[in-house]
Amino acid sequence: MSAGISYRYDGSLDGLLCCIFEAYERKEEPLSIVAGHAVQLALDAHVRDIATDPERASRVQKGILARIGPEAFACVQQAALSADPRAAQITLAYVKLGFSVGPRIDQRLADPAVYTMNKLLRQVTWEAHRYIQFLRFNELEGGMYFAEMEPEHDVLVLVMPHFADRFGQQPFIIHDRTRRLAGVWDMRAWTLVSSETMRLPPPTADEARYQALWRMFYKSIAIKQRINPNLRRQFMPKKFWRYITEMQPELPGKSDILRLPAKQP
Amino acid sequence: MRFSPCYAILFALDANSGVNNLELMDKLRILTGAAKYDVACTSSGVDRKGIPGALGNSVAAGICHSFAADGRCISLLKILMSNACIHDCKYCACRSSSNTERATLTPEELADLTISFYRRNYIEGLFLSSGVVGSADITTELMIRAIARLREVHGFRGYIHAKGIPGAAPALVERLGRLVDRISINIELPSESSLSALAPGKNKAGILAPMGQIAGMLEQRRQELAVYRHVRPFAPGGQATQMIVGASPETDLHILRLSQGLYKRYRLRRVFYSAYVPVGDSRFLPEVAAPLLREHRLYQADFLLRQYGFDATELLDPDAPWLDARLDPKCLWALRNPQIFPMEVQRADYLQLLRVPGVGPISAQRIVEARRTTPLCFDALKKLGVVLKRAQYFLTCQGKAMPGLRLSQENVYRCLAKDCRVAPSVFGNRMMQQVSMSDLVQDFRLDAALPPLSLLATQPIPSEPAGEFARGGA
Repeated sequence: MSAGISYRYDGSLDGLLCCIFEAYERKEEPLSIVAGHAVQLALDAHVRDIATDPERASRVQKGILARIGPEAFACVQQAALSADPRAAQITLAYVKLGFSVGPRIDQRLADPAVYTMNKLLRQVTWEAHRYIQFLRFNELEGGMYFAEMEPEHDVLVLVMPHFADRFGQQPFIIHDRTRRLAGVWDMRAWTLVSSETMRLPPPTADEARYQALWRMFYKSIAIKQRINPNLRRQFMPKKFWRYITEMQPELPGKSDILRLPAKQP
Repeated sequence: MRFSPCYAILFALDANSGVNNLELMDKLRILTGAAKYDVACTSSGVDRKGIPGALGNSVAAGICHSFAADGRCISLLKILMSNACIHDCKYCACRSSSNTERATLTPEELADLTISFYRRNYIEGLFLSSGVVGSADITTELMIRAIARLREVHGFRGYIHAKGIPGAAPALVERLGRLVDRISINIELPSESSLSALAPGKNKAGILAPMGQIAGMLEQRRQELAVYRHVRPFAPGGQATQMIVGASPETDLHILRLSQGLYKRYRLRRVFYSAYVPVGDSRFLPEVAAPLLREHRLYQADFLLRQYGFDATELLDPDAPWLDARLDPKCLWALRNPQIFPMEVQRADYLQLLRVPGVGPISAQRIVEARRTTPLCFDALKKLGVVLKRAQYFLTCQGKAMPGLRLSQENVYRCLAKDCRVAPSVFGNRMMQQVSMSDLVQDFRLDAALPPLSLLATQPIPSEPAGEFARGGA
């Protein structure tokens, strides 16, 4: 057993499962597990690259499903979406506890492994819910609707099912600018594609009108005697304002972001 | 095409005052500005999946899509059908004696606005209220036309909350209820005497009659659902109401007992409280707004009634009928009942845990679950989501109190209230100075006024096809 080894994997769910496989196979406790894109290691760190092997990943998946349960596997899936650098290690600790106590892991809410895991997942679901609330679609020529997000965690896959269910007769694209990924809904199924080569038609003539109407609604609905900017910011953090139609007039000197997705490289 | 009186109203408005020539932008400004004092903007209580080829779904937890500059959630397009009102309620910005811009939406405009906002993820749906244009029936018909257009022409499956207009024909109320997710009749003020003083066009019987009808139909649907698989929907999100607090002199105890009566007798889902904002006729009303904190404390007490198994008379009694400005109602109750504390975390059952300040339904549930596998310490409680700042005074873990705790009633009060920046007071002190109508208060006497729910459900429901009104012109 080598001392002080770190794992590096590709950041995918399968990669994460392979790290778990590796830790069990070699009976070792990695110092850290880093995703490929976040390489911030100590100078003298020993790093082992963990290859993503679908067969190993599916063995771990089956093991978790059979011995800890489907809820626990859903947790692992969500943890893989987290951008938190400790995500993989927290997941490993959680799965280890799970293999020793079985399905009753969900009762051990005060156990450090379960508690930190739940905290980690809360970050992901929190952000996903913020985008379900604050995503704003623009109508493009041809009937497509388009929205943009800049999420910290990879929440696009959590957001897509909600909107796909909601907009049964409205095709849309949600663009994750951080990861250059687009979720596309064609009214039958949703898929993820790279947005590198995405070309979008201009917004419809009505789009600016409805945005203006919405801003008028937003302005009119506030009760002047009760203005409370702190309360508003608590519920609607400023980092989301960039993409929120009604908040753009309140951003100082940012009139340029009023641009609609017509801008092309 | 049948010529319906509601179109007559639209034409008449058009000809007389030119309101209908207003741009949609101006209508939106006027009718939203008039709707903003309606408090409820929740889209909760209905889970409805989307279906392929149709627009919209509904999420039981509700979704806030934005927050206004006053920090209130914007979930629905909250708007009036019209603010041209025949009533002259003193507290209302749309009262007939007020010199304000008037506007009326057409059903087409409203449906188009709702759909366009919904497609852009601005809203969860529509919250439609209205001033009384012409008559209650005509107003209700206008609203039905707009909502029927949304549901039947656009196939809209998002959330719709509509206000019922007291005095509308039962058949129209039924038709409205079948189209919407939630229906609510405003009770407006917490007692009949305040109502007759401030809302001359309204009375208790007129408000309670449609509430009773809706409660009866909801109960009937509940019974049908137990027997049949397919039941015609009727307001699956239930019934709600709202009242203005602080415009009239009722005590907090009076208000909570009224709410409790409404929850028990009419099975309302929610009662909303709106702290009075001085937009009305100042000759009849307090000059200053009611404290928002009072509204907040009433909501806290309201949650205790609905989700924590408290009774209004436990929280307050006739000798001390006001909530405390510095302390939330649950802490207040706990300090008045020291005999049942401290409670042992390992042994107290779920309902007992719910009574501990700092413990809510979720953390109580977690405690019950987590203590099966391991004894809980204070550190663990914190991880389960218990607010120790309050709970520490009322709990023991394995027989031990929180380390370093000094327990005397005055000390606990001081500690619990120390984060509150309000001067020690109860709401009554300020209220009574503002209002000189203290002799007006009488009990609403719900118990005497209402037939029991079981009776309501068996009363014949109007079966006249109300749809005729709405189908006519579409």
